[in-house]
Amino acid sequence: MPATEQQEQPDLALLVASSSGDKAAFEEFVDRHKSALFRFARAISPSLTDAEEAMQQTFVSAWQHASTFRGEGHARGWLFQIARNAQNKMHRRRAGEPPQHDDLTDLGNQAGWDCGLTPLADVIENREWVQHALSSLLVDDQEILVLIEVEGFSLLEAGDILGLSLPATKSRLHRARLRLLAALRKEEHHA
Amino acid sequence: MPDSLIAGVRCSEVLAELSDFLDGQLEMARTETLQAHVIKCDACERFGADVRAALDLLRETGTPEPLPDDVSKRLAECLRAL
Repeated sequence: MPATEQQEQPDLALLVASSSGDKAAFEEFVDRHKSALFRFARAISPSLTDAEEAMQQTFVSAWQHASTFRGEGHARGWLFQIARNAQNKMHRRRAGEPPQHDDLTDLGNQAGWDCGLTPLADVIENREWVQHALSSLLVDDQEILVLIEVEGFSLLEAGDILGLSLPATKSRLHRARLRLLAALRKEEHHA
Repeated sequence: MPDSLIAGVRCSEVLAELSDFLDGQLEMARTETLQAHVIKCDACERFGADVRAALDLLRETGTPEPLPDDVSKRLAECLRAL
């Protein structure tokens, strides 16, 4: 089948077919989402090996539970939620970890709010800076930035994936953005 | 940054609401109030532009890289075993 026709098959139809044992449909679903899922898994995993394992577990779980997807949201969001749950289970993330509640003014100052720095757009030299800055952040920050800024999930969708209320999602996103900016400023100083 | 009071709004308020402001999540009246501050406050205007620039750079990473060959191969093996 030509690629264009394959793209027209909605995720829901592929998952319905998968739940009836149609492996070809599931493989198409996997092909469609594996790169984005791996990128997300890398953001929430302590190592590449863990990210790969999380991705594999996610697709195995999606195959086993395809019939439970009811099409109320994006299949992509459902998939990312499975990945996050799998990763939390693997690493018992946040067990005993205090939540990050840095003072907003301190965060702003770290991001250059308190001084007249050269505009960021004029100093960033390449995309590697951005990737490096992103990967230097804590998992909580990376996952929300990847979901919303990179993958394009809405605040509500990202909140569903992360198990957060809308206000909590907004608050975490705001702080994550400031920390990203601070990390980019650090990249600038190290360059 | 001095926490200046401009157009009835302090810089610290802009900092606190900057994401909502940039994302269009504030009510119209509040958006206009913050806008009035930002227009007259060089520091807040510059900082808002920096946040925008950082997010633009992140969004430009866009399409994910294809899976590395070995990772893709192991995934295929994993799926075959289902």
